[in-house]
Amino acid sequence: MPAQTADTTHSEVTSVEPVISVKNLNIYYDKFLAVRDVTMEIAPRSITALIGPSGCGKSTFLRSLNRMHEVIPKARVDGQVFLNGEGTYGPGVDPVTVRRRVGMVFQRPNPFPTMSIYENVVAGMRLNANRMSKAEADEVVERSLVGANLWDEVKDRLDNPGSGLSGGQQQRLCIARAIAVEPEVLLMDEPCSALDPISTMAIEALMEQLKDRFAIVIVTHNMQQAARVSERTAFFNIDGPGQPGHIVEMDLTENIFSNPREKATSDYVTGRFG
Amino acid sequence: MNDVRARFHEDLEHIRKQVSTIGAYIVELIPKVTDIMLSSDLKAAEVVIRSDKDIDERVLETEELILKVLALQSPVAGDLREVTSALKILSDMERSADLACNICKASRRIHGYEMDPKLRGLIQKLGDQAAREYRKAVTSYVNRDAMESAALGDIDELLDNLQRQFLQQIIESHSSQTIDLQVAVQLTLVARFYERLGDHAVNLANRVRFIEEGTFPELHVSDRELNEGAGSPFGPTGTD
Amino acid sequence: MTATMSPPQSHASSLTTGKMPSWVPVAICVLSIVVGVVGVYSIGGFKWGWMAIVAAHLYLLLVTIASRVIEDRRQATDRAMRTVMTIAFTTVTIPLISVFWKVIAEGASRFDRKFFTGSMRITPEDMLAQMEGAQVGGALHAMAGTLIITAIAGIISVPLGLLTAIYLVEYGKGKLASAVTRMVDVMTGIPSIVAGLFAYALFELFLGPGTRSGLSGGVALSLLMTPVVVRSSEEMIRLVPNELREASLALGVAKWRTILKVVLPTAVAGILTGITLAIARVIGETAPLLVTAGVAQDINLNPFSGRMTTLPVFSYYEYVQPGVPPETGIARAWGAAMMLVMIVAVLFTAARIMSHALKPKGLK
Repeated sequence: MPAQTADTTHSEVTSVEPVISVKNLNIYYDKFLAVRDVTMEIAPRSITALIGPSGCGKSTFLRSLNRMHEVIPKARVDGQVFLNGEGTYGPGVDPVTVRRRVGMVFQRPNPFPTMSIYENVVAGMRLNANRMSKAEADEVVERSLVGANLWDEVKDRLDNPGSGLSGGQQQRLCIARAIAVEPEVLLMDEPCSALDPISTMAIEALMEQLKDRFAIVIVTHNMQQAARVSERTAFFNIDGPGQPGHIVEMDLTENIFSNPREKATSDYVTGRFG
Repeated sequence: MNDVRARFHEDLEHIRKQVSTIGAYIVELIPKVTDIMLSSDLKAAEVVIRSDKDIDERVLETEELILKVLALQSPVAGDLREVTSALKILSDMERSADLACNICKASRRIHGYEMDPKLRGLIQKLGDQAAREYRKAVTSYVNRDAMESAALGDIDELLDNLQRQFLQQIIESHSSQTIDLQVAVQLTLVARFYERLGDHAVNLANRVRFIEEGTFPELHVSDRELNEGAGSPFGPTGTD
Repeated sequence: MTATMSPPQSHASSLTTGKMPSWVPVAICVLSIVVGVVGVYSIGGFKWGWMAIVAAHLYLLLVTIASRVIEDRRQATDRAMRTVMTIAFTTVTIPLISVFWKVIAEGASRFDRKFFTGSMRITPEDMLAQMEGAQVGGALHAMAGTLIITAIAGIISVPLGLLTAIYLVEYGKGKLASAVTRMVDVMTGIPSIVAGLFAYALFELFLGPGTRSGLSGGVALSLLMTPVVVRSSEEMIRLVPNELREASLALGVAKWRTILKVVLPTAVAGILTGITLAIARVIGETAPLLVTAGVAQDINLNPFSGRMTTLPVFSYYEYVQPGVPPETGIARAWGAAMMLVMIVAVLFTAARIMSHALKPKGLK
C-alpha cells in the first residue's frame, strides 16, 4: 500500500538527481499572482505531464521553466528553479542561456517561413552565429531529423520551405529544431492540440523515443494523452477566477488516474466538475 | 457537467443498480433454498432451478453495458474501480446463484430421506449465517460503506466453524447408520455450497473496500483452506 | 429562357426566385445611354459629362426596378449596390487614365535625345533657334537633381524610420513609445512648405542665410518621408506572427538577433513596399524644394553646395516662365512631368519585383 503522506505538493523523492528542481515558486504578472507556491522535481529521462482546467497556470508555470514567461512585460518570479543544480533565476543569469538548455515546442507549429527545412533545423545554431562547417551542419540536420522521425520523409527536399509540410510534419520539424541544440530538457506546450489523431499518435510515439535523451515536460488538455505518455502527472487547479493557480497533487501517472489522493483531482479526471 | 458525461454517469448508475438488484435477489434466495432443503419442496426447487437462467441473462446484459462504458468513456480513478469491480462482482454473483441452484438440486436428490434434528439444526444455522453475510455484503455495496465490509472477514469465521461442525455431524450420523452414503455425500456438498456462498460474500465486501478506498485488502483465505490437504473435500479426517 | 414572374415580396417560402435574363440589363443600358444622349443633346448640345450622368442614373433606376419585379427584393438591392460601385469605380478611373493620357500625349513632343541629355544651359544660337520654333533645352539637370535629392532623403529617412518602427514594435512599451508614436502622427501631417522652411532655417543657422543646396532639399524631404516609413514599417513588423519571435527566443536566440534574422526578413517585402510608397510621396514635392534647393540651369551633381533643380520644380518654372515662344516652355514642362511619371512607374515595378523575390515562400 503506497504511503499516504499529508503533504500533497511533494512528489516522492527520486533516487536520481532531478534535472529540474522547483522550490516555492510564485509567478507574478506585475502585482497579480498567477501561480502560487509550486515545489516539484523533474527526473532526467522521463516524461512529466501537467494537467488541469483552463487558466490554472500550467502553461505559465511551464514557461517559467525556461524563462519564456518574461516576454510578457512585468513578469517576475519569487522562489527558485534549479537546472541540474544551477539556479536559473540567480543574479547575473541570462535568460538566453537558460533557453539554450531548456528547449520548447509550441502548440501551433511555427517553422520560420523565410527558411528551408534544412535552415530551420540549424536555425538554433545559425541564428546565434555559431560557425559550423557544411559537413557539421549536415550532420546536425540529419541527426535531428532522424531524432524527430522526420528524416525519411524530407531527406530529398531539405531545401524546400519549412511551411510546405503538413501540420504533423511541421510540428516534428519544430521538434527537430528544438533538439538540434541538444537541450537538457524539452518543454512541450500542448504540442498536439492543433494536429489530427494520426499525427498526434506519431508525436506521442516520438516522445517515447525522445525520453531516452531528454527530460520532457508536457502541458496537455487531453487527459488520455497525459495518461498514455507520462510517468508522472501533476494536477494544477485554480480556486476561482482571479485566484492563483497551484499544484493540487503530483504523483505517478497510474496513481493519479486509478487512485488519486485528493478529491479535487478525482473530480477533475472523472469529469465531475465540467 | 456536459452532456456526454451525463450519459456516462447514468450508465454507471444503471450498472450499480443492476448489481444491487442481482445481489438483493441472492440475499432473498439463500433463506429460500434453505427452506427448500429442510422442507424438501420439489416444486419450489424446480422454480428456483429454472429461474437461474434469468439471472445469467441479466448478468450478461450488465457485462455488455460495462464493456461499452469501458470502450467509449475511458473511465478513470473511482469510476474505473467501480466498473472493473462490477465485472468481478457479477461473476461472483452468478456463481452464487448457481450455488443456490445446486443446493436445490441436492435437495431433490435426497428427497424422501428424513434428516435428524441435529443435522436440520445445523443446516438452518448454515443457511442463516450465509444469508446474514451475504446481506451484509450487498448492503455495504449499496451504501458504499467500506466499514461494514471490513467486519465481514471475521464473521465468516463462524460460517467456517459451522461447516466443520456439520461435517463432523454427518460423519457421526453416517457411522451410526442414521443416514446412508448418498445422503451423506449430498449433505457434505451442501455444506460446501453454503461455505462458498460465505466466501463470495467476503469477496464482495473486499471489492467494496477496493472501490471506496482504492487499495486491495488481503484476499480472504479461510482457515479451512489453510488447513486443507491435497484437495480432499472432507478436510482432515475425523480420526485426527 | 423566359423569366418566371414571381410575385414581389415572396417571403422566402420557396427556394427559387425569378431570374433576370441576361439581355435585360444590356437592353436597359442601351436604353439609358440613348435617352441620356438624346435628352441632353436636345437641351444643351454635346455635353458628354451630363450625358454620362443622366445615363448612369437612369440605368441605376431602371435596372433596380426591373430586378425587383423579375427577381426579388434582395437581388434588386444587390444589383443596385453593384451598379453604384461600378459607377463609382469608373468615376475614379476615368480621371486617372485621362491624366496619364494627357501627360504622355503632351510630353511625347519632348521625347527626344536633347531633352534627356541636355540641361537648360543654352547658347544664344539655341535661343534664336527656339524663337524659330525649335525645341531646345533639356531636363537632365532636373533628373539628376531629383535622383540625388530623393536619394539623400532616402538615406536619412529609411534607416531612421525603420529603426524607429523596430523600437515602437519590439521594445517600446512605456511613455517614451507613446510619445514617439504621437510625434510620428503629427509629422505625417506637416505641410510640405513647413518642412522646407524648417530645413532652410536649419541650414541658415549653420551656414548663413541664403544657403541653397541639394542636401538641404534632401533634409526637407526626409521630414516628410520618415513618418511614412515609420508607419508602414511598423504595420509590417506588427504583422509578423508573434509565434515566430517566440520560436526564436525559445531556441536561446537573443532578442536583437531575433529581430534582425527572423522578424525583419519575414517583413521585408512589406517594408520595401512601404519605402517605395514613401519615395513616391516625396518625389513630386515642389514647394519645399523651391525654398531649399532652389532653381538652377546647369547640371549640379554636388549636393553640398549650390542650387539643384528637381523635375517638379523645373516643370513649375517652365510653366511660370516659359520664355519665348511660350509653347517651348510648356512643352518642356510636360516633358519633365512625363519623365517624373516614368521614374515613379519604374520605381514601383522594381519594388514589386523585389518584393516578390524576397517574399518568404512560406507566407501565402
